[in-house]
Amino acid sequence: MRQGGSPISVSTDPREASAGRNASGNLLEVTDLKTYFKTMDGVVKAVDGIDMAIAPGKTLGVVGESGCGKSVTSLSIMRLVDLPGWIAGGQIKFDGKDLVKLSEEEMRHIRGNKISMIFQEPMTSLNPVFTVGNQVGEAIRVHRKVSKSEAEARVVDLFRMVGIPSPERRVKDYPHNMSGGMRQRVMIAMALALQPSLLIADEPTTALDVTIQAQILELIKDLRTKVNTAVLLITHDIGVVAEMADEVIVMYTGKVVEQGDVMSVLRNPKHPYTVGLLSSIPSLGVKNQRLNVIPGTVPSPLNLPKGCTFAPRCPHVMGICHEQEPPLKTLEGGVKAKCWLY
Amino acid sequence: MAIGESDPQSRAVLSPFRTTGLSPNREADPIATRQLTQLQLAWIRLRRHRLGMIGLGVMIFLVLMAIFAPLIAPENIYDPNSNDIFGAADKAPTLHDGLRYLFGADNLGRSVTSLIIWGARYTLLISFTATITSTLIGVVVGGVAGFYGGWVDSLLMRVVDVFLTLPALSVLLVAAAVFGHGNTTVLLVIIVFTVLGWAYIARLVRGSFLSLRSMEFTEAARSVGVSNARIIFRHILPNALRPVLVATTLGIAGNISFEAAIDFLGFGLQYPDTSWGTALAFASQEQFRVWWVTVWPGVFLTITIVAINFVGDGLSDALDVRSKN
Ligand SMILES: Nc1ncnc2c1ncn2[C@@H]1O[C@H](COP(=O)(O)OP(=O)(O)OP(=O)(O)O)[C@@H](O)[C@H]1O
Ligand SMILES: [Mg+2]
Repeated sequence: MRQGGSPISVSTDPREASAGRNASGNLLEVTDLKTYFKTMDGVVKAVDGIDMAIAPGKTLGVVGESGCGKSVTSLSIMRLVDLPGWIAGGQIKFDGKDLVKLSEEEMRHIRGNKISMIFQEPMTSLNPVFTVGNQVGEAIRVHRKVSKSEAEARVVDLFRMVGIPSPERRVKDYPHNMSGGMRQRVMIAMALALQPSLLIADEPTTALDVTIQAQILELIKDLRTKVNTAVLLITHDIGVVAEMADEVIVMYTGKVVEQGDVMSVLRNPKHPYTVGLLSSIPSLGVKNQRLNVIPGTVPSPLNLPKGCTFAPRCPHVMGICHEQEPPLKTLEGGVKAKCWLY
Repeated sequence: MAIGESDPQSRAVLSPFRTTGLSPNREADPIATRQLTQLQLAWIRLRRHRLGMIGLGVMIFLVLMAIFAPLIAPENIYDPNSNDIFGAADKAPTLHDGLRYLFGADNLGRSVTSLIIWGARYTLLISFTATITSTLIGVVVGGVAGFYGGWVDSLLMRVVDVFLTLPALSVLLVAAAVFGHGNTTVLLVIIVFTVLGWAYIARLVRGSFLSLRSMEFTEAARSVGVSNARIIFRHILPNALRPVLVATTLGIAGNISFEAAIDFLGFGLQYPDTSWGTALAFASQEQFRVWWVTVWPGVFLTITIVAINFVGDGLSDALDVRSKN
């Protein structure tokens, strides 16, 4: 991974990291984002008014139980939400532009170029009929005018950089010739091919086993420092957040319930939901452990309880919780929590 | 490193992709197959498919026969001077004249051998052309419907429904009346067959696209900025190729028999245009007195349709991208 000549170490130009940043110095600022899905039984508010911000080179972790809207959030930022879903409101300021307002064509120039994404499933994220080199090469050629052979040379460099052994030979492999860990490296190589300023990693390691998981995380860390890429890291795994993230947001039923820097939130969680999540931390090295220490289950998105949506499961529930939705309040130390206790 | 043995993950990894079980020789030599392109692999698999290769051989033979009809046929059936009207009218099959009257002759003295060789031209031209144009239209319409979904899909699929319910013979007769002054020409038959055929392909393609559309690799391609047109034709279509090609081969077979049927009913090609269907129809007008004019085109029709089905079968196996043997 330290060999010279990798495309990343060659050209660490600060352009994307500093140019066109939002006024506040953040690379990405999401305000009041709402993404809804129309279903037979009604409208599912998968993401319902969330805010987040990431500065260049920083990592924001997003945690929460399955179905709380993490993937929908990341797809919204990429503008990849399809019917029956749509972005119902809010702003996604990136590089000074509101992505919500861009045309599909303008958005296409951002995807893979300025913002790219690593998916949850390395097994199925590669097209079975093309060689992996071909697919990564395409990601380059979509945005840059380079010849096929130049693209291939860059792919070989990228493969070397993400730690794929004998990359010259591996570029000619089809996905089914590769193991899950190798495929995920290919996906990472593809996501990083053009040195995006924002990398969205949606559970990049859940499908992998533990040792490979650790290697992939090392890789992302390494790239973050080399290229100053900001990372939006979505995960079930609090351990991963502790290791990787600068800040964290905790989501529940499409809303942010707690937000703050990682150390404060993990050491001293405020929201009862965060407390519950932390007390159910999977023991080290156990993969995909279900977080079910919190009593009860996530309510149906079609039938959310009135007031605080966590109230039915909350050990500290009070009368007001069933009546009124609490605001996201800033507490001392800068941590925000959406709870009537504060 | 032998993938099968020293990398325990690769086995598990394969499973979501594979439709067939692990082949016994998968572990034997994984590196050797690795450098081959999918096309080469498909060809290798097709070559191992015995019936498919027989069908392909028959088809190639028939196509060459049709192309070189003027050179190989004993007479030119469209040139009255080359037929022996007086000597050979209704001549029964005989071994005495070599190939020429091996299958007999019709009432105009045209040898059945020539009818078959020349008739192959229109039979194959109509069925191949009509099926290929149907496929092209069907792939575009079905691909767009399946890829975009929503109202685009609903709209296009209603149109498809309409075309699927069109009564074939009525369309043909109306088209002949409106565009052909009551006559059906080769071009007209091709157009009508295309109009009647594309909707089946569109429905099929739409189905595969709908499922491939939601596959993660499609989303991954979008996430790096690949355009929709490129995703439809470069990423999704190759994955949907197997059912499309199989349907296309079967469509050719279907069009061959349908063309013969309309000829038989008298709505098809008009004299002097000759296909296997018109040759077959001829004898029925003669109360099957000269049975040989009916039987031999019928035999060729059957052989061709069976051969095409074999090819379809072979293609279906050969294009299974996930299988490795
Ligand atoms: N296409 C869709 N149609 C209807 N509802 C959808 C659709 N996609 C997502 N949703 C809803 O959006 C909500 C959030 O889903 P999302 O995939 O973002 O969850 P997640 O937090 O990523 O979960 P996981 O941890 O399991 O990946 C879910 O309740 C789901 O039912
Ligand atoms: Mg998810």
